[in-house]
Amino acid sequence: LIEEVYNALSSLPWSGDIRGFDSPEPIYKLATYATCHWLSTVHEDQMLDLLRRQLCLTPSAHRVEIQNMGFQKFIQEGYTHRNSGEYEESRYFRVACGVGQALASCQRDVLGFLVNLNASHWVAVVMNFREGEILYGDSLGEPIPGDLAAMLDWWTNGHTGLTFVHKLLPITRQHDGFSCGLLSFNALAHYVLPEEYLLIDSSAVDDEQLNVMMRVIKQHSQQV
Amino acid sequence: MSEEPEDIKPKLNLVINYEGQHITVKVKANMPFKKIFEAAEVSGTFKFAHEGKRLNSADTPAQMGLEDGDMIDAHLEQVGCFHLVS
Repeated sequence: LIEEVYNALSSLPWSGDIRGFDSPEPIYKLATYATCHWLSTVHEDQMLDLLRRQLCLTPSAHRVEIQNMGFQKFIQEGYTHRNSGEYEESRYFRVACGVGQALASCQRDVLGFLVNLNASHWVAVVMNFREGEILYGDSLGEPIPGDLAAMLDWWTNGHTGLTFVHKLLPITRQHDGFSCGLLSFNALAHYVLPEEYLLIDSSAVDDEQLNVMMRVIKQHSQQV
Repeated sequence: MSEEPEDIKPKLNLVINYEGQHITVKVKANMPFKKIFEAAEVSGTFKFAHEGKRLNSADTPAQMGLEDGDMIDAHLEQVGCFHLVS
């Protein structure tokens, strides 16, 4: 695997942007996948982009909605201004409202996204509207913070009038200081595509990050 | 002969939001976001998004369908991996 990564890197230029993703990011940001540094919004969005593409090619998964890193903010802002009527009326919340309506009207069944807690920790959230469940996955095994639970309850209840049940999302337990970004994504991907994404063995996170890096490079290479 | 892009009127008022702090910029619909981002900050550390979709510096408000009064979210790149209990 390491040899494959070296070969792939040798075919990339030193500068320029990574192509084939929603957000063009500098090529040097790929290097983080090969380190124990914390993954950032850039890497989470790249992994979510790859998952969305895979879902598009999977007919049985067409009722799954995966949102990128910006989605949490809309629910959070809507919750903050919940008594003002802004969420229902302002163009700012158009996307979040549209997603909520698509789920509530059964055009979609499942919504998944990642959340950054306290600007320091990645966790996964899945809302299954068909089952009336909110699933929360934290690789450190912590329960859902009360303010996040309240925010998600407000959003699901606002769109359906129902109170969703909270459950734990299966996720690999983290035994290091850097893999929450990978493990939270993996938990989300495993929920929506269990056969394609097995839960990662916690001892294999280094290899798995290199595998993600290879997939990103492959996607880039197909665009240039 | 000038090579400036054609002046498209009316201009748009776009609100740039960073954690509840707002600044409003008046721009042409065909102005690349690069100039708008530079007006909002000089360091180049922020990322900008509209309705959750990343705005790229070469795009323009017209291309991205922005309308007068729309809000652009500015945010810093977030990282993770330890939950710091306060």
